[in-house]
Amino acid sequence: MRIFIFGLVFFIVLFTSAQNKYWVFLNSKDTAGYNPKSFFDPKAIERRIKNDIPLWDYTDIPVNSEFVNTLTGMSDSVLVASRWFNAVCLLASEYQINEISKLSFVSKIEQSQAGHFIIAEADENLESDYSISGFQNRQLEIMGADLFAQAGITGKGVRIAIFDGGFPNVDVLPCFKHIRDNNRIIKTWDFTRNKENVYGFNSHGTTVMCCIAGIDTSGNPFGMATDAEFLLARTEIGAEPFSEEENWVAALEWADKNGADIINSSLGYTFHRYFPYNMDGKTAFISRGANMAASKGILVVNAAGNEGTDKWYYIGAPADADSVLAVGGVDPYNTVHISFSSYGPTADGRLKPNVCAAGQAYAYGKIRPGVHYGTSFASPLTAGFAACAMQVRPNLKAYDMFLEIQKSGHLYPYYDYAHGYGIPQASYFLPDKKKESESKIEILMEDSDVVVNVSAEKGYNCVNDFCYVHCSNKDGLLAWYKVLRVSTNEVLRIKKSNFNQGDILRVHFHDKFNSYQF
Amino acid sequence: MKKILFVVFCFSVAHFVLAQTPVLDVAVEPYNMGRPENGPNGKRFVNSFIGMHFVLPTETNDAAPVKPLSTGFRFGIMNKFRFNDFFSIGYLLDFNSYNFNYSQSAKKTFPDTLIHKTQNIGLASIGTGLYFRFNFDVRRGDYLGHYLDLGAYADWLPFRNLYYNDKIDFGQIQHSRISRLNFVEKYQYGLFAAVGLNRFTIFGRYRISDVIKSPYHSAELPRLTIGVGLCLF
Repeated sequence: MRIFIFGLVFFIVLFTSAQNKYWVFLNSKDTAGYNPKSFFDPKAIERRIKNDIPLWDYTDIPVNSEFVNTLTGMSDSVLVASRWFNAVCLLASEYQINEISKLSFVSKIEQSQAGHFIIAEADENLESDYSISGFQNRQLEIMGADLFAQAGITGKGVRIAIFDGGFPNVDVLPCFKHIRDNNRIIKTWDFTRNKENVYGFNSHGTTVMCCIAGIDTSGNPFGMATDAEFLLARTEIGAEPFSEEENWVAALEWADKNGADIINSSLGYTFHRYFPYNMDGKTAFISRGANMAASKGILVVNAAGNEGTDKWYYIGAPADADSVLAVGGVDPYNTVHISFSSYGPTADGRLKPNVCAAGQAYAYGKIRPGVHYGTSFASPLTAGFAACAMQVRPNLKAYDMFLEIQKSGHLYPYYDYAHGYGIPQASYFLPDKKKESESKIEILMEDSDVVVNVSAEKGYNCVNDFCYVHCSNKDGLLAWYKVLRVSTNEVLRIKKSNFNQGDILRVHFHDKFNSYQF
Repeated sequence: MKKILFVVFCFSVAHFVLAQTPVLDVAVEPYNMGRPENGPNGKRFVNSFIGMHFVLPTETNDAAPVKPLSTGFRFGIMNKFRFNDFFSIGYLLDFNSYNFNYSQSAKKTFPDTLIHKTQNIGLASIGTGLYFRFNFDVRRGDYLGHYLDLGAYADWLPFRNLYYNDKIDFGQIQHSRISRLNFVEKYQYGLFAAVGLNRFTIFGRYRISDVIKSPYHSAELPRLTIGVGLCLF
């Protein structure tokens, strides 16, 4: 009995005395001596000017070091100080946090707890009808990457920050030789250990980087932004670790300071910390951080998630943030939603994912190339695309670029909660390369039925092409959406009684779009 | 008749050929804007569990020398009712098996004085328990999180057997079993605790009641078992 009681007391003490993690928000900063030109990398200054962001911004001023020192003395340890939120993330006991709350410079305290960051890599044992050969081309071909390549657009001058669980062998693999030889890995930082070396640990980051900028030994690219510059941040401990959102937010600020134009992150919070209704872009701290990064002129590209076949089903945070370009996954061969890719919309009804890209990608892992599955790889393929788009339109502001990438989607202006606006197309940014098909869509009212007919352009066999159809209600929310394999001209016949006043039926076929309002 | 069949056949073929094949067909469901009624962090949650435990003798008894780490297993279902993010109560129904292996030495007097190749008392119980659950990661989604369970249990022991194996001629082993041991109580009760992280638990059970009847009290079986479990959901 004594042992049992001892054990019981031990566990109770262990649990109840455990430190909690808190964000302590501060009410002032020391603005004296702050000089943005010496604080920021010149690329960050350049980005601020391009995006009409004032160089002197209160949120850019570092947290008052005296406050941090005081908090360090009063807590168990300070983990991160966020200048954007003027907050300090620390570990403290209940007694300590009570004492901290009494400090005159503390405005509010939020409890923060570790959750799972799920790096969005799907089960690699998914069945596929496709051979490995051709994947590498296909993941780029569906975005029209050859048009960028022919025009010499390779993301030159664009700085991309990648947040991931590690980058093993990026310093030795042949697919990154062109980047290393030109010193285009600008900075690295491991936020989990506060060390510079990130070339170890989880190989997910290596694959992600390869999808942005890798080149194989024959000179064929894996991604589009082969001439981009890189900031590599290790923010995660493992593939599904107990991880910390403060690492991610700290990495955002680090990327901002070091001049990132684009941030790619292939991870997200889901059920460990949140309920689906929390995916409103405002609840998750990480989503607020992502929106803040966007307000600093950075294009944040994030994987939608791999929960499409799971109970969670929806996108995770920070893909729910309104300024984050959430990328879903498609089968690279038929360009239709791949089963595991998470669905939108957000809890407050906004369209997510915004766009989509190949959810099966051929890229280097730790040692050799192979096929990888997950929206993790759709996201960097899109980040590489975005870098090329930025090279084409260097003066476009980040949020305008976000909108332009949406418009470049192969389905635009059609959208749905599986594909967003579709796969971004290079031809949109190179207008002289854009070809229009002569296919047609008719929406006919026949007695009690609504009939959708499509016809392909002359000489075009439309069998096995896809027709996208959705119905949105008067509030703009989709009631249903379908992708139909076209085998006859009449693709859809529905009773009129299934529609309500104000509903809109929209149809996309090839690059044509038609709609009908009831 | 043949004509009719032919027409029906043609119609069916045409229907299948002409029908559009939906590759994706999604009826958008509205978000559930409240917490789920049922689920790991819902108002109610039912899950089954399995586990394996080890007997931990807390004192040496040369007369009835139970080996440390004698094993057993358990399975059952548990039901949880959440009061708030920190506190829940629940009950469980479970089956437990216990296997008390006896060292064979000259000092042994229980269950008998003979030296066997192996000897053990096997008990199996069907029982119920009530528990309080304390969750330590208050901010969580539909996820069990880190928790501590404290509770009490009561068991009925329908199976109370003594097994022993002896070497006989030609190297053969003779297996023997005595069922419905009359020196073992039919009921037991005690306390239990568990610490868990989502599906994984470490649990301990401490039996308060005696299992061995008078006049064999001195041979009372070890009271403490420690085990690992897995919640299935």
